[in-house]
Amino acid sequence: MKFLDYQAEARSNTFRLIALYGIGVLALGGISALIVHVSLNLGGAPLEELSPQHWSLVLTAAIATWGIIFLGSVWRMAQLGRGGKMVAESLGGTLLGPTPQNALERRALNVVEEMALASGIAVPPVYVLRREQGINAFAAGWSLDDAVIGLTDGAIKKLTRSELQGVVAHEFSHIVNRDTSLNMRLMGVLHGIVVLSIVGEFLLRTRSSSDSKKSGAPFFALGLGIWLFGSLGAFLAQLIQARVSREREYLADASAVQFTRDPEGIGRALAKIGLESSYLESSFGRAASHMLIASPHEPTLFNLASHPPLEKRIRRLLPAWDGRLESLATLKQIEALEADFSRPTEYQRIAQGADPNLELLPMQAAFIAYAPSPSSKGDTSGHGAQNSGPFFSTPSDLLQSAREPFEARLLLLALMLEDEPRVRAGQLTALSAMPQNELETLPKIANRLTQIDAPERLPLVQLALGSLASLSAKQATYLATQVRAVRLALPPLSHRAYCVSRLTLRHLEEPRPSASGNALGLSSKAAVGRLLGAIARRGNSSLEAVERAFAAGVALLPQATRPTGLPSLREIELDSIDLALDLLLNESFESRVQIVCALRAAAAEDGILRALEAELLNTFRVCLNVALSPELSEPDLPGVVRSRLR
Amino acid sequence: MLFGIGLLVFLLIFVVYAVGIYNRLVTLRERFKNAFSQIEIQLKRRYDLIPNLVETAKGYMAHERDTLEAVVRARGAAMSGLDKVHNSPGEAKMAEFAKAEVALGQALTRFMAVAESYPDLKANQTMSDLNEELTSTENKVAFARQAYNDSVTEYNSYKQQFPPVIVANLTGFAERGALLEFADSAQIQAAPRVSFSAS
Repeated sequence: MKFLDYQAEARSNTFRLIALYGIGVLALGGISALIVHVSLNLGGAPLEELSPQHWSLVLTAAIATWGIIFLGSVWRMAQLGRGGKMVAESLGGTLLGPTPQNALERRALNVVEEMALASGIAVPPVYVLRREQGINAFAAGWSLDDAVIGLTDGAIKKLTRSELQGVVAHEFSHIVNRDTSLNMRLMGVLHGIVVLSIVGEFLLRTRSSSDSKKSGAPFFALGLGIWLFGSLGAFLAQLIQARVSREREYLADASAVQFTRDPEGIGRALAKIGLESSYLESSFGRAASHMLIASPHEPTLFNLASHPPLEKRIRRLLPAWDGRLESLATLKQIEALEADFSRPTEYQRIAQGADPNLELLPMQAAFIAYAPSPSSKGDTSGHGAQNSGPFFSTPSDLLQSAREPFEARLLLLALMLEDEPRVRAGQLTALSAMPQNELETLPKIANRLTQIDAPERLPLVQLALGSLASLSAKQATYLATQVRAVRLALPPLSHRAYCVSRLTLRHLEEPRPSASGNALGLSSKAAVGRLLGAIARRGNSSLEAVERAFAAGVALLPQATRPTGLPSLREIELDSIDLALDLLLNESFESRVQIVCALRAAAAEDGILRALEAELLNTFRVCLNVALSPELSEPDLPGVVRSRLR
Repeated sequence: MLFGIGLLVFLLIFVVYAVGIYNRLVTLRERFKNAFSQIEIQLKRRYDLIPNLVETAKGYMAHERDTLEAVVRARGAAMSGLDKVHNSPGEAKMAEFAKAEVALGQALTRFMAVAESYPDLKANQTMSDLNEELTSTENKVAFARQAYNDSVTEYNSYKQQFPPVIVANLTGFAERGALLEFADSAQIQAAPRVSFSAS
């Protein structure tokens, strides 16, 4: 099965989910009606003799239950609309900053960074669940760019680097396979069903926290009753979670191997989880169990685990395994200074032996998951010591800046500055509301940025975007206005700076599909044409090559979205692209996937993915909300660019 | 009976709503705590820089012992203030810490002013690197502090709104989040430069 099929499957799972949810809700309503019926009719009178009043009560019970479930779901969905951050915070996660407190947390940050750059998505914020000693991890978020990664303290302290890498890769595959958005939906919807048990627990806890007062007793009885009924709901919810998520876990395990090329890492991590525990203390864990790498609670009576048994998962990863967990893992705390770097990944080996004449492309460069080379052994500080991964020409202090919110912000703004003096002056004027000292540094940074190789710009942007997570809402809004101001001062064909601005805005604000393109008479066909045209025209110099690239993209599109002809230069101006992207976000998911595939084909037509082509492709796919990392899911190695992209 | 069920349903909806508010309170509190740990990171970095600075300056300004000692003392006070805030945050502790921070800022300013009159010291590469680093760290502190104050304000004002205020008082969210304001820290707000130069 190919990568995009997985994404499509995630969608069809959604329909199954809705069906199961419907059944669950109906059942709960029915049961509460039954309870009312039986308790009012203890005498066992025949049904015909019961008064209409009796039946109206029974009906009320059912309707009330449905109402509460429905309200619970709707309202939780609204809350989750705030994204993956919200999930991490509900679980009590602490955001890991640019300079973590100890070497182990730094190592975790490094691993996440490596994986993000390897899979070509912006580095997600990392949350640590400091109170949790079990080994577990999760990924949450609605889309690629609001995803977060969460790791328990146990996972950080008890796993070796390669094991941690396997776990993080597992979570990343949930992100790129679109499981996280399915999971978010699942979590919101199920909240309605488990809401009663949570309410019961809440009441029980309120009582115990105010022990001294005696007024707690009625609370306790009410809480107990609701909790019992709610447990039934929780049981149903588990049934649904189990149904949807078990298969995805195998898939994510398999993808983790494809990311790291190392089945042992994830295999040993799972063995360690088996020896230790993956249980969470937070009661919220239950609602999120399908997001975690292993079950957050003890197995229940009816084998309803949201995760397949660890033994089976390990067996699939390591067929030669002897079945004893101890043979894979020994339990000990990882010493902070133990240098347990994994061996170089396949990608890195390929890159090391790569043809030096081959133009190094951002995606390819990004593939070199940068397991620190043996030479950096003992240097657990990792960051900044030696440039690694996709970065060769970027000075380490710029990388360090990208990891720090205050400077990452300036770095992104500087990446949007044009070289042409008049344009740049205009852009700086647009920013004149900024503090003077910050404004003065922008051109300095921009000048330094010209020294780095073009293919490293995109990974640098992705690194910097990850740091924006710790901005407050106010700061984010302010930055968005600044980005807009710089963007408006851009000349109509500065696609390079445009990509940075678009990606940054996408990170700072909720995307809203807009139909303003429609109002101007823009059809989907023409909109697709503009995107294809931009990639074809900016990626090739001769008109002949442009037309070939354009045709390669068009060939992959169905009639409904197939553009008629190569757009003029006017039609690929930034404002036109803006309209096209906003309009196409209204298209169905399948159709957006087709569009992105066509764009990729156009970019790769000549067998070389140039930096600007990669930047445009990445920006378009993020704006269309389509995960695209087929290279990582296809079995062939990224040896030759052409074979990978075709 | 119908009335009874109606009441029960009403109660249930109310409790569901209360749980939601509780969750939101937890989220907001977690968020500002996160924001504070970002400030802490930068502040600790700054505290680590100061001894190096003093050490470097010692050789040049042996006659300025008082100024140097004042900086070291202020640093110690600010550090223990940060520890206290970390262990039990509260408005009183926070105000105390802010005071210590302002004192440190003033001591540093005095130190810099004195250092100006030693040309050899000014020319010292280590000194100017440290100075640059310090400035840049102060900018980061200011930025992180802004983020922290924003999220504390969000938490406090949510907590004061009508239905949340009841839930907050019932469930141990009574204490307000403490803002971190540096009352007269002109030298920190008008931090001169950002370190980005190719050094």
